[in-house]
Amino acid sequence: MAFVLLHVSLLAAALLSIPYFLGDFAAYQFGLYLIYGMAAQGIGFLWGKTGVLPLGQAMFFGVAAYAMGIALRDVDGLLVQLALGVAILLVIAGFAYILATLVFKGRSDSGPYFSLITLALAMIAEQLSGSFPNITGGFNGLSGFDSLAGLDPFGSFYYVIVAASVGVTFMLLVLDRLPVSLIAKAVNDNEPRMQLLGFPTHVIKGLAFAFSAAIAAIAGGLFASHQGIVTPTSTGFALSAELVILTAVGGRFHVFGPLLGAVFFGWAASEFRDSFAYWELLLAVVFIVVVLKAPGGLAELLKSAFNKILPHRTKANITTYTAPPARYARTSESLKFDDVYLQIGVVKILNGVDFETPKSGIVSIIGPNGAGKTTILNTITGNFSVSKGKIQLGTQEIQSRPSYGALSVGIGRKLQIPSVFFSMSVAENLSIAMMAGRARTLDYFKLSTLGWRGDGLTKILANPTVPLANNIEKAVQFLPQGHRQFLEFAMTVATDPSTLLLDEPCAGLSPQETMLMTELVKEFQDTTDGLVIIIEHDMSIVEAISDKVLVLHQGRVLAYASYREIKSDPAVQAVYAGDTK
Amino acid sequence: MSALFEFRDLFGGYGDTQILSGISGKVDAGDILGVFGRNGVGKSTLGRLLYGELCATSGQITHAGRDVTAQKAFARRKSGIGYMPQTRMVFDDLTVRENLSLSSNKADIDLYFDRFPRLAERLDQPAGTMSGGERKILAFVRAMIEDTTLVILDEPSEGVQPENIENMATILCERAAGGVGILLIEQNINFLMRTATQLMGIDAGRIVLEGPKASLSIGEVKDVLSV
Repeated sequence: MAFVLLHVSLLAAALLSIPYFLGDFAAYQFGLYLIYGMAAQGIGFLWGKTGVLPLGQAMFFGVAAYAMGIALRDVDGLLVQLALGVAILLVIAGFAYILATLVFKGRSDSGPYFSLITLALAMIAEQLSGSFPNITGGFNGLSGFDSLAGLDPFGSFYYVIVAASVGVTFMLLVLDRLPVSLIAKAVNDNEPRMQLLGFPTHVIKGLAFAFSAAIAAIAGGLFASHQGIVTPTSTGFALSAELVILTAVGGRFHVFGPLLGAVFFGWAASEFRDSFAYWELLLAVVFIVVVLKAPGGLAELLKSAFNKILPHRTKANITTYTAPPARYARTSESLKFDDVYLQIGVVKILNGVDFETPKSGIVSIIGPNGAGKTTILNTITGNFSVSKGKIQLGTQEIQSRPSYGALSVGIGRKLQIPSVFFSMSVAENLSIAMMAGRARTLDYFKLSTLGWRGDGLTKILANPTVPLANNIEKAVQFLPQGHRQFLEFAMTVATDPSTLLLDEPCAGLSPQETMLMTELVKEFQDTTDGLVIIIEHDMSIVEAISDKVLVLHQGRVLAYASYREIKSDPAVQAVYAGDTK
Repeated sequence: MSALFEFRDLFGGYGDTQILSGISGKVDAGDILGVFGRNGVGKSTLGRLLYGELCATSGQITHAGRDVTAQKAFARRKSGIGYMPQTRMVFDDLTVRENLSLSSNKADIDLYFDRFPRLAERLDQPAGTMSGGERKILAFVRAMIEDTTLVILDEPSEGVQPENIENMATILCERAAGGVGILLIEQNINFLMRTATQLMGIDAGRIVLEGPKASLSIGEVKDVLSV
């Protein structure tokens, strides 16, 4: 927190000294850069964290500017004007939320389409704002209104802009340190994993987009009051693109980056526009060079320069807190497949699967490659919706739930190829898993949430042979595949599932690590008395841990019995000869 | 005479993190060098350095008498070095047939359908719709049919059913008998002992055990895996 206050005070001091040192006109120009910079900070939050790139942000900026202009022109009284401003802000944020959730619902690959839709909407907004001269002033623009509260745009209004800019920066710096930021980044890093952890990712993207739209709208409102005129270009594509460019050049991963970009571009434009005929070409070259050579932008360059001068701050040890219990039922139920079929395109994967597990215990699924083992788990977690048939957990039908709904009925899943958050540290991965199924809205805004620990996770971390506690600050991208297996297992257990699905957890593990993983699985089952379904090729593991074995072949259940019975079943031997590591 | 493929004193890792601290070895034509060790000791990193995804910070790699240390992955592939990665090994959106034809277009090539009949059944199916183990098999076959003189494989047996591991072993031995050099990164001891002619055990970025398979005992190998 001291770090945030220091940064914000430095920013405030620098901005407040501008009229004093450089004069009122410079402050007027600076005010405009700050306004654009603020809209760009909103883009930086959305793009830098969730990876969603908005190409039409000017529509929110422009619509708010028009609304503010109209309020200033037609409505009397500062309070009424401000109330109207807040109302339009809420409308804009609500529209942005609905748009993003609709586009992102049900699929995680719609990012490019979303960008293009925002681009199209900005073009429509620009067209419309020129089309109703009575309301918007047409292509000549809306003008003839005073600044907010009668302040002088060339004088005192600058301080309103500084206050807003410092306020937004403060808010973003604080958010940057809170769990909510980690959640936003995690959506960009690995959306399928977030869904299996129970997070409705389309809602998270929708909220982030609404937040960035609201910031653009605040900037737009200030713009109208500052400039005294709003034209259709303020809602259009050109300004949208410019905002994205200065976000990229300034640096989208840092709160200060977009501000820096806006000031840099604004200063460069005012400096070279009149004296150098090709100044736009120069800016284009700067943009290309920065994007190619320093994708983190100016902010990243400055930061690495500072890091060379200043000593590295060592990270404090993580303070741990006891996490609240998970919100779903802790007693496990039997899982029942009733004549389940699954066809994808022309490929028939499941052809009438029937079985019912006990309420607790370990059920192993074996079978040749391509028998449908992973698909069984995919239908349980809702990654695939079945073509026909029912899947029941206890008395509840679960076959038509989305994958982010699996954890809400207590189903946790470890995937075949470890699916973790690769851009983050082991500790951050575990924090996200601990929030899954436990955190309520307010918890995402408390620092202590990051240190949550539960019994299941604590036990795993305390085991000296598990390669996690020693690597807690290590970036997952540098973790070997086998360690990622343990990390993903720990994350899944951290969510306190009553039904645990494990897809080849021992793949890529040495014989000794395989033994360790087997022990952890057994220990989980013993302590929770839950249901574990595990896919495994290694028959020695299957023998050691299974209460029952399900043999799949060509999308059907070939046999379902104890290990001993399976082993002596000639039908099983014919399709599947087991081996040990 | 120099070896088909040789690497000397390799150092390397990711960014500032050094993973390998001076690894040397060679693969002669017809040899299968089995590289093993616990997780995190640098096996996959070695594979990536050798095929060119990562750059060695120091050391030298030669292939067929030519220094390839400074070459990028695509250039090494052109000079005859093949690679099968541990994960993300096939083009999910392309069909099995398309995946295979990217590796070899020769009409008369053996695609090993007799050993892996599932691939033949799924020729026109996008590879991404197949199971993890089937994709692994597809990637393995692709690496085997490529026109290469040296193939690096990173844990091909992971997630593959035992019978198909046995098929992989047979094919590897056939390819080696045909004069190809193979560098096999594996943790499956049975597979390793069944195929390798030379062994190299790694721990903490250094070689801790090496020699012809015949000269090493399974106990020594297990020791390296369980330190």
